[in-house]
Amino acid sequence: MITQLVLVLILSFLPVGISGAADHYKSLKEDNRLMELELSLASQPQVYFIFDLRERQVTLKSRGIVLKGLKIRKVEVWGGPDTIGEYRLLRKSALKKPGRKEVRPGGKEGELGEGEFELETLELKDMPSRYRLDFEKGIVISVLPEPDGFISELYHTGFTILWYLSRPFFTIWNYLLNKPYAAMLLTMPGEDARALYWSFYEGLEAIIRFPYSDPVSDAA
Amino acid sequence: MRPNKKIFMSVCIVIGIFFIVEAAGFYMARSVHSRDREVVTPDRDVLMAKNRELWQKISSLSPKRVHIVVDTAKNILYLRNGNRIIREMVVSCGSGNILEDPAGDRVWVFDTPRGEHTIKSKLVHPNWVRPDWAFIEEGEPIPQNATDRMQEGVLGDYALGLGNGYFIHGTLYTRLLGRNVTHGCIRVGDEDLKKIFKTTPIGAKVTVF
Repeated sequence: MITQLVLVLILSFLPVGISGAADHYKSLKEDNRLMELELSLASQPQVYFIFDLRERQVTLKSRGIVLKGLKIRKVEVWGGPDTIGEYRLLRKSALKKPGRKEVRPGGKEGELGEGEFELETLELKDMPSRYRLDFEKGIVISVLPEPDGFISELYHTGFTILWYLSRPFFTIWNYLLNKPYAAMLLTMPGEDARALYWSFYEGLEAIIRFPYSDPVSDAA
Repeated sequence: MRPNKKIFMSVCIVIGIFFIVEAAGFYMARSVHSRDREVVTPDRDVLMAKNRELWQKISSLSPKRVHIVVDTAKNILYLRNGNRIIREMVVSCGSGNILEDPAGDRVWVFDTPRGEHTIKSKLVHPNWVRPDWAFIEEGEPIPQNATDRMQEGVLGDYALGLGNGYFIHGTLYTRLLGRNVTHGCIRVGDEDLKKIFKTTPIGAKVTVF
């Protein structure tokens, strides 16, 4: 009787064990791919980003050390590969792009009065929190700030719906042009979104792990 | 056909086309998603060993000794020894402003250069050799004599050279520490500068982001 009970218990937990082993293998495979890509980037004298869309975080690294960690609150994904890949940033664009201030030779326009002056510089607060990052291989990441009130929540929801509704058109358009296309919409805390815009510039490399990365879907 | 019926039919056709495009786009996005799947299945133990090896290789790339990391967005300089932060300092980085030479086609962008640099020189009581932009910015004529470019005391007690005229140096404008106000150099307060100078050897890495 006891033997039968033990057998039933073992058999009932067996599928859980198999599934756990498959998950562990999958995770090992993903880590392997991620580290292979990171090793090639960390070997060069440069900073690079890792967009871990599954873990909802963006990490700025150099030589394997973490320089900065940024949070992602929400991820929406449209199409794209389901593996981990390395992509170069081609362009970043914003509706309200921060403009560099021009210094007037010999000018004193910053001075307000004795001992007081207004600083005319480009700082983190001047960076946009709504923008778009265009990577190679047709990867487009749009960034939105986390809503902080009813109106911005409404805007955010409306934007997300329109974003989803318009994606099929972009997919077909790019298909007709024979170009790859995948889009992601990230919602980040405002400060983190601005910090990402500040630190990420054209030509930098990024490793992107998509939310449903499944490199061993048919394995294990 | 009555006008109302015609409008109704047109609306139906537009909505129909919209849904067909939506469905086709959705299907195409999903098919791209499943096309790229990998089915390579190396042995689990081999994979674990490979991962350990990769991790060690990546870890071996990080600086093991004293190095500097500069966050230009927050104007913070981290003095680090390996993975440990020795000291966090408030600094001033580049303003991002632009200066055009009215007489020619030269343009200067006052950014602190991002990326990986090394400490190339260490100077005590450094003099500032004012570059052309310093004179143009002030509306002064550019001197022909090199000695006319020398200025004492503006860089503080020490300076650490990063190359291409960029330095980590002291400042007279300590109340502006924490703001992006420089012409590309990294300005540091007196005590912090002393610590950097004494701790950081020539050849140490400086990562600016």
